[in-house]
Amino acid sequence: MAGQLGVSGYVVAGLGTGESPEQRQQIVQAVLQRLPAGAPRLLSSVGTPEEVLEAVAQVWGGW
Amino acid sequence: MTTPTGAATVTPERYIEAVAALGPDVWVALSDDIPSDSRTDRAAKSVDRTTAWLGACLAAAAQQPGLAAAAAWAAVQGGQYLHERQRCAEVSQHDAGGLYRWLVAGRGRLRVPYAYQSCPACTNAPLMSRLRLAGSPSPAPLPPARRRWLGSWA
Repeated sequence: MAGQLGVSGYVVAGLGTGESPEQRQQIVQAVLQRLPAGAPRLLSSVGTPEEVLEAVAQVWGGW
Repeated sequence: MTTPTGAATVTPERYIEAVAALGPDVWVALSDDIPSDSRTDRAAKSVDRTTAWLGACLAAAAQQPGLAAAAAWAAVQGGQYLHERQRCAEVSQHDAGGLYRWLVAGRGRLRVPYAYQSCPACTNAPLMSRLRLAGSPSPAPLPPARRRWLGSWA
């Protein structure tokens, strides 16, 4: 047995499948409330630079 | 999944075998990806599958010496339903035993792939103002010892 693995990060997946920008913000906020504060997280299906910056602003605004 | 010669079932064990062959620093467990407008019962099933597959992937990965130093990440599914999203996030932590191992050490700096001033979003004054208010006056080098993920850039 190579060793016991645990989860060290999270991917907020399943986005970019028809939800509105407002729904996406609500989903991200709801998930972040339940994740460990120091855990790295990846937001999938965020494609444009503006979407990336909006997501960063949203997370920082919640800290 | 479908292949040129027909359909094939990808089990967590087969998935982890493929992951181990790539020798990654970080891998993400299998998840049941659904459209945002799926019904609530389908979203619940997605969360149940995703968390079950997480446990199966972790168990399979523990048998792979090549993944001993790799970091495992969980996918958070649940469609548009906030309570399902939060359930997935919580169960993923509990099923993983709350064992957090920070194994991905970053090196170097994040490189912006094109000139900053050529990015329309970066010249969006209201958005950049929000970012500055949030504590980032300018793109800064990343701390040398922090984890980072560089995904695809459209």
